[in-house]
Amino acid sequence: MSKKWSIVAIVAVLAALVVTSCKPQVQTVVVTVPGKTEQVVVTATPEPAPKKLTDEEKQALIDGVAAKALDDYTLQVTFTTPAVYNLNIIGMWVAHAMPKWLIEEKGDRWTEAGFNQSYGPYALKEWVHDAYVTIVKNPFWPGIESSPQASIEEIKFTMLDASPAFAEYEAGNLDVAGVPLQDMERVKADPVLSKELVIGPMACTYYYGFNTSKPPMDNVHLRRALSLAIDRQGLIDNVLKGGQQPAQWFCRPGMAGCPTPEKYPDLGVKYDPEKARAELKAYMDEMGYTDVSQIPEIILMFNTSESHRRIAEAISAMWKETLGIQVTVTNQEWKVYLKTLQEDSPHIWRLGWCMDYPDANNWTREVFAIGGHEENATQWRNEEFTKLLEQAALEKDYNKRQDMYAQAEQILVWEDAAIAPIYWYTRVTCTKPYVKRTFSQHGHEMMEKWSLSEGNILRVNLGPGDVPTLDPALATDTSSVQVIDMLTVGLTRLDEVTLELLPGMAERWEVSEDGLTYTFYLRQGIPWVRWNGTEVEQVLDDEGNPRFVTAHDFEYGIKRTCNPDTASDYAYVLGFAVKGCNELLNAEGW
Amino acid sequence: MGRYIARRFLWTVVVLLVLSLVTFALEHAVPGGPFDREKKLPSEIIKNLEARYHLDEPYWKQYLRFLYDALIPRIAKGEPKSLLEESLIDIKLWDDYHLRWVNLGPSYSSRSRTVNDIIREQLPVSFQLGVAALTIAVLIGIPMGIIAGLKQNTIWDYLGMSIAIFGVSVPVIALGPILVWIFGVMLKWLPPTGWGAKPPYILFFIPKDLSWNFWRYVIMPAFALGLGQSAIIARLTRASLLQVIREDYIRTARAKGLPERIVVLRHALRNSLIPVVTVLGPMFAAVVTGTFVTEQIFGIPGLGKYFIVSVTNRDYPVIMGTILLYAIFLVLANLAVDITYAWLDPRIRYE
Repeated sequence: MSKKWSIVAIVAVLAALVVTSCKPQVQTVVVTVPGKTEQVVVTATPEPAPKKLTDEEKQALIDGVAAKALDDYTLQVTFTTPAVYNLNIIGMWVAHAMPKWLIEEKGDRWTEAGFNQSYGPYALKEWVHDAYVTIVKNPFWPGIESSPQASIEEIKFTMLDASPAFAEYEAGNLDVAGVPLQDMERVKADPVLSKELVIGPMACTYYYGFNTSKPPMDNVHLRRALSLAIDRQGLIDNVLKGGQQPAQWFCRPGMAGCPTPEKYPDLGVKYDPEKARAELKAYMDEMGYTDVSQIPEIILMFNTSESHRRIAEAISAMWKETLGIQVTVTNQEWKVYLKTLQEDSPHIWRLGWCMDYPDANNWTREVFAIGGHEENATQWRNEEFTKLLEQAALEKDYNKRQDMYAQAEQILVWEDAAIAPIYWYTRVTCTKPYVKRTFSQHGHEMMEKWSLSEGNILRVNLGPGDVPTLDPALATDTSSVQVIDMLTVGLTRLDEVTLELLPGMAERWEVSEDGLTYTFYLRQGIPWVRWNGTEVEQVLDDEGNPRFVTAHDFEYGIKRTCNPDTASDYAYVLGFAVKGCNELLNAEGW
Repeated sequence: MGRYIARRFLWTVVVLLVLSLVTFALEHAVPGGPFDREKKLPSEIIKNLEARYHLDEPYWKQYLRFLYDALIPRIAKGEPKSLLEESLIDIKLWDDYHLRWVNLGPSYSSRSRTVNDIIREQLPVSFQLGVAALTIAVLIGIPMGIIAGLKQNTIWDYLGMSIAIFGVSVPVIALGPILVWIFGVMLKWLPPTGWGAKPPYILFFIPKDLSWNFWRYVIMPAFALGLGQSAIIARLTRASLLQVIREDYIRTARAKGLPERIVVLRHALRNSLIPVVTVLGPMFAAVVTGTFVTEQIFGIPGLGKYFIVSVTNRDYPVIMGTILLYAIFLVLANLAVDITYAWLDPRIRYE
């Protein structure tokens, strides 16, 4: 009897799969005709699939990427606009030199320990997945101003969760570790640990966005009221406890072009319950409401996580107390949440943004201008705002540029109040006293500048989970970039403390008249190296000669990142800047 | 007995097929895909990624492709051209030909690893931890249960069962950090996190270095994990022993003049172990394939994390691989349990 039912069940599931996988031949499209109140249903045949590109066409697209090696040590790059941040972007890990011969031989496995090749201050020694990564000093790296020869012989990166990592730190097995939230009070009170504690800035902003097309959030007075009613400092003191900074606008101070609270103290939005109530009154008068309970339901959504829940509950309590508005708090799992934001975002949604490259363009413009990442989530399209940001990208005078971004932020968080910025992240770390170190402003550390007064191995915790990749073209997260940026060096390199742009693998460069074409002159005599089991050795080519880093390697790296076959998450940043890259990335019929 | 085992193996294949079908349907029914990112990928790149991993094909085709890769051995020439053709079993035949079998697919989260790599490198770690934990559980649990059962309603009984209640009530997530704090941070006797072995392994499971350097990492996590399991085993052993001790044949054995030790160990224990062995089967499968919480607290690079993280990442091949792996372990463990029944109790016969 039970056997029969199991067979029925199997057949049913199979049938369901077959049915759901059948694609409809004809698509029904619902069209709203302006002037008519009902919607008209139109049947349309789906577009035919784009014609597949031939190999010649593909090669032509690859050659169209404007990064060319004029000779072994001269690289010419043409940018799409004479933007101020072009040099920033061309120094990013996605445009590092990559070893073509190794990638063609080993394929996707080229990053694994045993064959990984690099040229920077460190080389990869060992990578035990989910356990640790060990890198070792590269004696062949000559040292340049922005990236000196390493002082520490070996660095071991562990992959522990915050609490076990801090236990290891207290046991003396780790030299640098982040402080978990639940230990924050204890560490601040401890006589030894409190001296080792440093709260430094982290290049991320936490904010609540509004769906400006969904009533009642389509009214700017209500949005301003909600934004003004958030007691940001109170939230930081009582809920977050990490010494974060209340955010008055979106772009994090410290990024090139971003306004700073010192220079623009009254810019943006701050906690002001009186003003909030005034804005609420303006909203209610406009809508003809006499009582707060007449306001339609507002949904606040966040992605499932204990910390986001606590923040959401604290803020909704603030809104209830100051304005009398009760919002409905709900959450969704991360991937489902991302889909919801893009397809039908709720009235109020929570997100954070972390920097890709330290320039205001990466923040305000890439996220909120027309065509930006969160355009669908905010449903906010402001032409004046977008044009202002496009001009700001080209403005060479730093003060004028900062003013333009300040103006843009004012539109974003006050005039149109499309989002309510909440706080600027901080990083809370403890470092042992025998580590002499710098504190990076841009997200990852330059450990070649650190030194130890005891021992010769530095042990640092990266964070939970395996390093996703050590391939520069594919890396997106801080763990991967932290290791990659010590194995290879870009054309330009940022000073991690001052954020000043310095020469990297390019000694110097020349700019054309129109500001679009840069000619980079590379340093010579820097070899590719690998770990051979006992020491770091130079990589030899087929004739037995050492391979040096050339402009061809950089050209290969840039084109590889822009190639759709590589499927790089961050290629869009290069697509923004380098001419021809966007056409290659979005080539139809590849 | 042989025919019984053969029949069980055949049923295992059916169970695994149905399980893979249900898992496949569920994982594609859940909204969200592996390439949904916070910073949206260009649509052409998503199309390319889906084409590369065959996610744009109709579902039945994807499922059959998975079955084909996982079940059918293939003969190919030379090294695999890309990671997508890598397999668990790769036997070199004559010339340059290879026999390749069991390709569980790539991992969408890591470009340089396949599901086979993940299982090859991390299952042994979980297995080592699991075997150690279960050994502790059995070595503590069974004697404790026997003593409590024989000396019922005395101080030994109460003590033993109190320890058992403690073990069951205090989860690893509480016991683990306490152990780490006492032995790792304060006394510094044992390393707080980490594992003493890394790939490659001998015979798939055995680490190359079996000295104290390896065992010192095993002690705390195995104990944290094993204590809870030992409590269950102790209580079951005690209850079962209490029942068996009152049977007539035990009275006969005593009447025959056998020493008490022989009565308990030879006669009573064998029969009272049946419920314990029943529980040990699924316990073995669960513990040996990886325990998420223990591995996270002690920073052990095991397989447990992949069961959970693969679902949040919508990493379909890893989801399928881990679930099928668990199913295989479970089925084999249950088979071992059933065979042990026949040994423990000669009245039980299979045909």
